[in-house]
Amino acid sequence: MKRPFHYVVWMALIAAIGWSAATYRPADASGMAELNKPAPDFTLVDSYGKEHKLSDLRGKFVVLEWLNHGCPFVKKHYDSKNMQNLQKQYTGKGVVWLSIISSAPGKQGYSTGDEANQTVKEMGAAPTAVLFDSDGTVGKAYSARTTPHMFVINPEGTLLYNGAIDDIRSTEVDDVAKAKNYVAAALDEAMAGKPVTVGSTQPYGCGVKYAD
Amino acid sequence: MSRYLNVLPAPRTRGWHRLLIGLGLFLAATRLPAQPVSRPHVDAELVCETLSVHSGKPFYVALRLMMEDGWHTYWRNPGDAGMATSIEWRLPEGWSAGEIQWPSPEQLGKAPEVSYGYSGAILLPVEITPAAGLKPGETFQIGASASWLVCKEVCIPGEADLALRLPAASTPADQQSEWSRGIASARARVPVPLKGWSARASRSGEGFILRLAPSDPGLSIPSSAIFFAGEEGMIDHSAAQETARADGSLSIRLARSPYATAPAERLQGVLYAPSAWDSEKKIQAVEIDLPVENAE
Repeated sequence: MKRPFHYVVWMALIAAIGWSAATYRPADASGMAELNKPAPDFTLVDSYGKEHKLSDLRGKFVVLEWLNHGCPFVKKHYDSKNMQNLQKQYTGKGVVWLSIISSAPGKQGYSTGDEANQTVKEMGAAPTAVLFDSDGTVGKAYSARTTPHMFVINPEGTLLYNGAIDDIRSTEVDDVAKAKNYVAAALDEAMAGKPVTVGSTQPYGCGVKYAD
Repeated sequence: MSRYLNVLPAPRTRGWHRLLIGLGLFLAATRLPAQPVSRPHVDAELVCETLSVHSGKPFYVALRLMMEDGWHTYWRNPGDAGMATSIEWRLPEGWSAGEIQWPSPEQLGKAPEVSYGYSGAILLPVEITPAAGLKPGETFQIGASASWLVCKEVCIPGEADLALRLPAASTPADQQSEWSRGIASARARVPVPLKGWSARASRSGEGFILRLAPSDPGLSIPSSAIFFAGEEGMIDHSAAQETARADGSLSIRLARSPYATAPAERLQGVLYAPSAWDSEKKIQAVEIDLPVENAE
């Protein structure tokens, strides 16, 4: 029996819809930063003008700490000395700790090199470097959403942890001592050759101040 | 004596002057804080729907937050950034307070950072249940320590200690206050269980599809709807939610949270449709709490 043309068109349309539904994949909202996969490589300049490339750090554990000192959630971890203590403890064990500022020019958290160095001194902070990502490229590659937002990368360059610094979403300094610190846990486990128990959590903090 | 008590009037002041001053100090010390309380970018107030209370009979109070233009506070799941408003209660013996009943929120921000919260002025209702056996005419104080995060480009944590005094009623009649309509309309915006619709959540690739079909033939399918996840770590708050109307049903695709380490077993949250879910067009926000079925 001869099929009318519009029948063919409808069948083709239905087939196309069926095919796209079957092959549908929601957009990978996490950009390229997938757990247990290679962490996205990047090169950023630090507060002294020196370049740092992630892939040059193979052989070491790396922590990425998204930073904005104006944010009350960041203040909680700096006023309590929690962040500085973590930085000292783990850089003392050979971990490379990179504080990254993805604030766009004119937005809260944006700093010049001198301002960032001054703040490090005032806070008694001990990151390996403070890196500037003012066009937000690296922040967006990691889908960094909050400050703080923490990432732990192993010596092979694999992302082991992506998420909150700890498990109490508040601005209260008193909560630091009560909370379970996910970054310390991930580093301790991985450095002991054990699998990381909690690989990712919803980060908490203020939104990263990307350009509009 | 006036050497070390410089604040008190000198002994030659008449006795009743000192009594008045003492009374004034006493009243100042026991006064309720003036409301609304002003904080950076937000004014806070504790209001009540009733002018008096009855033994054991629940009534509603509300935390009123009036935010400066452009500033916002957060819902129970703040989303990607921020922090939910919270209240700690100081109540008389035998009284109890329920949880905040959250009116449906707005979506704040845009990809890659989407949060859920409120702008302008919001009333957050809470049900208070008084103790039994209250003496008519006796007054009771309800205290609330509210804390919130108010943000625009930057975020400022805030808190206020608020209080109300209410007498136990001498008559059985309800005495509504000027706030009863406002509180009733805030309560009308609190999501309710889904009625007249059947809903299913299923896995789809790495995300979910939420499908709703009216079981009541009189109901029309909304042209748009937004799903607000009730918990963090379930969906990607900033991913687009593709909605489609086909075969008499509404389907919404939700992307999985980038932070979920295992597929969610339940999809829980609020589904908001501006064109409403009921035939009277009054209910815009419904509760969703469904097991996630495997893809067909």
